[in-house]
Amino acid sequence: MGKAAFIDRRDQHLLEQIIDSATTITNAAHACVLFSNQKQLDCLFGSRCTQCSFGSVNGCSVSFANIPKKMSQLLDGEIANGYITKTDLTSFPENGSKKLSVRSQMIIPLKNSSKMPQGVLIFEANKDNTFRQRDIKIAESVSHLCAIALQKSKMLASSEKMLAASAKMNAKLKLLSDASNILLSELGNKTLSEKLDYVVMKTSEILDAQLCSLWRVEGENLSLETSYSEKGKETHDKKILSPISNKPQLGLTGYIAYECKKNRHDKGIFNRYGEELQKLKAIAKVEDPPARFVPAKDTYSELACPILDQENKFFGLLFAYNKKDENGQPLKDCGFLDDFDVPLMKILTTKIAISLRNAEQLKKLRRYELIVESTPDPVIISRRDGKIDYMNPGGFAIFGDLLGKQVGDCYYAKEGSTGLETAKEIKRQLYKTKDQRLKNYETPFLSKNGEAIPISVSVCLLHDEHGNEEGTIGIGKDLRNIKGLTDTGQSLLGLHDTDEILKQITNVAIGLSDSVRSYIKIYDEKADTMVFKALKTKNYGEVFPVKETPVEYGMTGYVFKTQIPIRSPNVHNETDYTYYNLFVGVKSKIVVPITYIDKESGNKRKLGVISVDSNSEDAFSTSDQYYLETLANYAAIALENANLISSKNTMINRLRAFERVQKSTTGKDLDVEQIYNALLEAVVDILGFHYATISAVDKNKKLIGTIKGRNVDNAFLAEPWHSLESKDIQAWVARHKEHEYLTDWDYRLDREIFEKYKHHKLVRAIIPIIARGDVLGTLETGYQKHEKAEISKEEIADLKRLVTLAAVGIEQANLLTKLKEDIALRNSLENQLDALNEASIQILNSTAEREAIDHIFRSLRSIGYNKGMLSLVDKSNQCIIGMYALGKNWQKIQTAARFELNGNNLLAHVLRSRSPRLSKNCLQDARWDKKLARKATIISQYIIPMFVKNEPIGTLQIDLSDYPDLVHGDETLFKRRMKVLETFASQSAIAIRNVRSTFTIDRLQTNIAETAHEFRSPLHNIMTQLGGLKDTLEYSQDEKAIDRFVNVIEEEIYRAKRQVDNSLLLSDRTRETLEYNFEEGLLQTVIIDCVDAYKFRALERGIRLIVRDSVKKLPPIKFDHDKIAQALTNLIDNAVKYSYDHQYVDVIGFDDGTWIKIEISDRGLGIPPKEFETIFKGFKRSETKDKFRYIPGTGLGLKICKEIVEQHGGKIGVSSVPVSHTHRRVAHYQDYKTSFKIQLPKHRKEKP
Amino acid sequence: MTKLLFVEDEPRGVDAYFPVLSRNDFQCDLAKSFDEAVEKLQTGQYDGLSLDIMFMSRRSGQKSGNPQSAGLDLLKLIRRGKIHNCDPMLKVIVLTASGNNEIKSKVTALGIHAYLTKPVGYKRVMDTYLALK
Repeated sequence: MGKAAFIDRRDQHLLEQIIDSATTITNAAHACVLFSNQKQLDCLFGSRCTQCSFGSVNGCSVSFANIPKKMSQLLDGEIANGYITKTDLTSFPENGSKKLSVRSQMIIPLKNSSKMPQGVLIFEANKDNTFRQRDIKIAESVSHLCAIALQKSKMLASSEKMLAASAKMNAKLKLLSDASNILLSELGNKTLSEKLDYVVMKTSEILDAQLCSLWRVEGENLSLETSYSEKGKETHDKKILSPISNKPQLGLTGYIAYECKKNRHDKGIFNRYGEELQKLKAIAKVEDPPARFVPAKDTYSELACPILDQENKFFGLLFAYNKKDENGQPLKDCGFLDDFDVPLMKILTTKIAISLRNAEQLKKLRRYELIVESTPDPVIISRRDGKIDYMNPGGFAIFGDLLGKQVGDCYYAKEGSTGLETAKEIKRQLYKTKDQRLKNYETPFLSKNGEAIPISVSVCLLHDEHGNEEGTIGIGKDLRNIKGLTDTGQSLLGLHDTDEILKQITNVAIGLSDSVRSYIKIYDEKADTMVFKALKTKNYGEVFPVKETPVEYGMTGYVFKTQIPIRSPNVHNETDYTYYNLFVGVKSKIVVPITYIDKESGNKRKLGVISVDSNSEDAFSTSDQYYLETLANYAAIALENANLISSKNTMINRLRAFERVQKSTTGKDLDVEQIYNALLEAVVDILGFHYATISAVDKNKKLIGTIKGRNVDNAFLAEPWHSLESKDIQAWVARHKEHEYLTDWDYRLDREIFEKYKHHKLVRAIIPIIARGDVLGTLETGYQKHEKAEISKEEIADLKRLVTLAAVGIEQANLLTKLKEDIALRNSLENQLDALNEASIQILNSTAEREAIDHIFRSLRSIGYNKGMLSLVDKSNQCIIGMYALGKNWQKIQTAARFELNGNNLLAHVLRSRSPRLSKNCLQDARWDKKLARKATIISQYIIPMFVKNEPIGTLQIDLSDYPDLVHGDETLFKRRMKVLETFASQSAIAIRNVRSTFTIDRLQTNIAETAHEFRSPLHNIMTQLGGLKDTLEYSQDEKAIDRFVNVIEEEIYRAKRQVDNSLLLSDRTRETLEYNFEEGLLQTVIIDCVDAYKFRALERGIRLIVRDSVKKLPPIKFDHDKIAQALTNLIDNAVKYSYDHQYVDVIGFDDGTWIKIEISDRGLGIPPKEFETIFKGFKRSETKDKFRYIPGTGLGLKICKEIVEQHGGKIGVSSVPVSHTHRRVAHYQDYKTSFKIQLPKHRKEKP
Repeated sequence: MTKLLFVEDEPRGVDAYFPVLSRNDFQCDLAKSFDEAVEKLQTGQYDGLSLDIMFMSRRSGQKSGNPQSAGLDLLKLIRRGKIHNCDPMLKVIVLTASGNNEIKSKVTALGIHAYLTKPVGYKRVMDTYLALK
């Protein structure tokens, strides 16, 4: 009996039966069981085995040494599952010389629960058949069964029960074969759900279960697919779901599914009964859905098996509830058997898995088939040997029938290579790729007409189940149309002329084979009609029969309305629309809509339709339609780009442009920059102009220049600015406030710039940006001539409106900025004013001029003005003199700054005009001394006249050389700043005037003492002399004495009169009101009278008074006798006063023809030259006082003289020269001859 | 016989008094300048002094005097005994045209017989001088 002798014969029979069934199930040719022995594998059937193809005289036995590697791994437990191979045992040496053919084999481990297999089960396929992966599952189940049978058989080997057990085993075997029958069942015509129903039904029969159910995975849930009980199929009103979760509380079914899914790699079987099951159910508190369809009150046992596909993907669960006993009652303490029901269950789930997978694959396959069949692109499948197995209709259309021919025949024989070589090259490329897919390989193919067609081919290797290469599948893309379309599309996009676009489209469209004409109908929105546009026809002289048709008219109207393209094989058979025979003989026709889809909004704009006609039936293919649709897309884009599609579109853009600008001109934080940017954006990006620039006007500098641009050369933006008065076009527009439209060079354009930036290529519009009549700048925009040759009036009107909108915003923004600046300025000015006001109090409280000036200058410095000069008016000398300088540079020129009040100089001019003046550039100011400007490096200055009421006090010059920004900046700003200074200057003027008046009063006060003395002395002398005279008359009557008394009294009266006259002239007010009476007379009489009046006085000091003869020769002139007498008396009085004792004073006269000159000289103290001028100013008595002699005087005498002489139109001067000592009383005193010279005009000119 | 020295730079302001004073047993002398006055006072023969305030100051010496107050300076010298042979308690009548109150108070403080401000009547002057006797 051999090595398998431990197996009972009946067991062997059982095994033989199992194996038989398994053979049938797996569609195998043979099967054999090999038991593992110590040294070899023994065949179940021993030497008489004829099962395997390799069977020999020795049966299938194989020694371990000869076992293939993989099988020994299997026997060692290293590989757990069975596998498919190709005649693994061919190499068995025991096979002897028997020639073996290659067959597919399945090697399945023979094992129960232990890891180590007892042997192997070998299945061998028919010659033409191969095993599949799913067969392994079945085979494994069988193997499992065999193992169980062997085990049982061992257990019952010598038992009495053997027989009964065998009977039982037979019954089981029956079940197994039932199950295998199900696996085998074709169920071909049944739907998937019918198949599933069948399997579930059978499962309940086979497993003897009270109820069976099938649940499929639906997302995160388990959904009840079908269930069967003894009563038949259970029906359910609604879908029953149970969430797949590890919480039994949510549903026991879902929990079981979760457990099974989790353990699916380790079989994933759920098999529980009795107490164990009850415990679990207790946890699941919620109502367990299955309970509803289990007729019994409770479930006593449950068996669930996961449905897994090859990749262990979890499809669902097959449930069996309540194992029944022989009487059909549920077993309460016993459930489904691990060693029998479970394998059966697995076989059944395998069938379900296969059905589900097949269904899914079939579904996919059907779709693929549909795609492949319907695509116009050629698809070719070739076998490994290169023969073409399959071609789709698209392939037939291009290549003709090539089935069974070599794939190399598809390719166009290029120069130097054959089609076969191309095929080989493609194969090579294919192998090189990682995933063995070659994409978009472009090569010429050979069409059925023998033409070379550019095709981009994608090829992929096909494999059989065993991973062997089966052939290739290639999908081609005909590049002819695409290339043509792309070219057309490109050329269309370049066009801006609608008619041209339409013409080109029809030209291309008529290229379809068999077409006789193509034309386009465009939808006219206003008229709501379809207008015939471009027509391309093969019928000579054919024209559109009508101009337009109603919108829903005929096939084109239908397509336009529905937006669905129609390819009609025969227009006369169509029922959806009525076909009108506008053109004769049309049979087949394609109409596709031209529709623009806005990418951003997704909005569709129906533009029209393209139609292609043919006079033969069914002339066009789907690819023709596809081609035309693509063309229509290009057309739509081209038309849209042309920007002329409809007024609606333009309107939308216009609105958008306005909206863009509007947005930028509203809101809190207005910004001119942003408005300009928005304007540029609106003009270029939205309205579609080629470029745009903005020029701004600089009001202060009176310039205009480009500040911003879009789509222009940066260098252009940097070009220099133009004067607003220049002929420059921007300046022109800004001046004329009217837009300009330029198509070529113009005399207002700079030739150089015009050529540099190729402006001849442009059409340009320049639009002024005006806000409330003020030109803020200009907007220039335009097209390139080749894009668009002109700017329409409507466009210019739009631009103007845009600009107006922007201008309002700019103005507001400017106002806002100005307001902000104003507030800042006002604050700073207020601060300055506060500081100055405070200072003014100090200034006004100043008691001395110098003190006041110090305060003034300190205040100026405190508000940032460090340089300048304060000049004061010298009324008596009719000039204005730089008295006080602020800053070193001004100190340099201070002493030299002396200007005639009547002269043509800046300070006098400012005083005369009584308004301040800004001298921006002193070097260019004719009125300002350039030498002084250079010396003090003064560039700019501001001169403020200082007045108190109508009285000019002086000028305040503020040096602004360090503030060019202020000087050349905003005029209003400057004025505001200077206003502060002006206010300050007027306060300073008051202060200075006050100080000066105080000074005058002080001086007058001190002089009053002297004046009093001057009056008192002659009066006292008169009274004294009169007393003496009376006494003499009383006692002696001495004639001589009486004469002397009388003379002295007369003299003293005269002296007193002079004092009165002088004091009248002391005050300015009385001086101005004095009237002069000019009478002709001789000067000598006056001179002699005056000299006589001093005779005795002079004699008292031994001074001789000499009137020279020249005086007596002077001619008569017109003069005021009293005034001249007063002047001369003053001079003689002076001369006597300052003469040394015992000297002489002389008076000389000249007549030089024009002038009468009188010179009065004394010999005495003398006057230093530096005082020659000041002595005439009043209160300025010569500092060279007689150190030992009191010289009375008010210090006003010379001032009065000067005034009197000048009133006569004459002049007064003084000289003082040393003379030799004639009287050496004191050695160290030098005698000076001091001469006062008066010159009076011989012919006085009357003052107007 | 009472000897009087008149210090006055304008002789016509005082010379008319001389004949009357002579008749009343006065001997009158005139000094027109500071130096001249000092010179004459050093003789020590005077019983009284008629002093003007504003007149020629002294010409010699270290300090140059102020003509505005030459009389005051001279009086100071007398009262301080700085003038040789001159009685510091010499009777002094001030006769001046100066209206300067400051000087007047200073002069008065030094002790004087009378302060007469020009113009002053003939009779009043005479009464003042005659009272010196």
